Amino acid sequence: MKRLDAFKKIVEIIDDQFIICNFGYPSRELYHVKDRIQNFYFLENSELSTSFALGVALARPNLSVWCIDSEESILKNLGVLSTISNMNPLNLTVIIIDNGVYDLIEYQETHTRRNTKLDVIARGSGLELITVIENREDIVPVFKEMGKGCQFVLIKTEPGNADVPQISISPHILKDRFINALEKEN
Amino acid sequence: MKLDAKIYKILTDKNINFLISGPSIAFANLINLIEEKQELSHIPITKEDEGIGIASGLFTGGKKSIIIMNQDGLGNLINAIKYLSHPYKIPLILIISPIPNLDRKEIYMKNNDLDLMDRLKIKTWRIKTNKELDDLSEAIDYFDMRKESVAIIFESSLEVI
Repeated sequence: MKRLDAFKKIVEIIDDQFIICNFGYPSRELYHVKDRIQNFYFLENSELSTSFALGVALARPNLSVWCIDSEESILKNLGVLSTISNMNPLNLTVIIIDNGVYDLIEYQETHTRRNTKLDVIARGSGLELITVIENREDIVPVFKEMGKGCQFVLIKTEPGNADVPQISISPHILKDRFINALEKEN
Repeated sequence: MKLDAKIYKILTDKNINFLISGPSIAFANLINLIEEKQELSHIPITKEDEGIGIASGLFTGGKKSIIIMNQDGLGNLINAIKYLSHPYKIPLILIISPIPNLDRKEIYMKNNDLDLMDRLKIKTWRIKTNKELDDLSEAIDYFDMRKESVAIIFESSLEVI
């Protein structure tokens, strides 16, 4: 399964969730597969999407907030997993799509290609609801059966990026439309 | 009224919803007070830039937060402010607490922190004595009115330290 395949399956499940997506190709691929005003794309910062999602989840506890992050990004900000565990927002789902390589330098492996296990790190950080998905066919049923509570989902994919264009919306416009979408839920 | 109680009153009067902090010697009593009274929620963090990410998400979700950090953590903010706060135009309230027992390091930081804030285009208030605490209110008012980031730097001459 390529990351784009994972995104295609994830959007089958998306309903009213507010999605924060990581910098670079993950955001570009989600934007290509299904853009919506409830999506917030990280366009310049490569490591804080999960922290940002935690903030949104704590600000709006009645809404479902998903963060779609990557292994290279979360490895730069592992402390946030302990912070999430400490705050325990029941409306937050952290999805890590791990393709084992740096997106902009595809031949260079990230640590997860060797010994590093993000699901074990998540458990060690105190998160309890952890799921690992390795097959495309499992994505929809696993998400449909997922119970309530703060979830950590690790999706393992093959290396590589899809050939999709850059996002043409400027960052502050993306922020404003996301805020508007949140305000509609008041 | 003790300084931490005065700061607490300003934060509640200004409708701050969340306090985000790493460990802080200078503001330990304030953090304890916030945890005890539970009018504001406390989010303990592991690193300063993590706080910027969380505060940005809170702001986007309609909540107002402050980030308390030690002076020697300022350098960790650069990437987060330059590549998240600035392009998305998300304002922040930073409270910088001194590191009172590391005299030489503090002098070094004093000489550089204002320069760093200037380069990050963050308007800065420097509070040297307890009588200047109104500057904290003024800084939060500036944040509310202008929707721009502010930093309030407390110096170790304050009585709480």
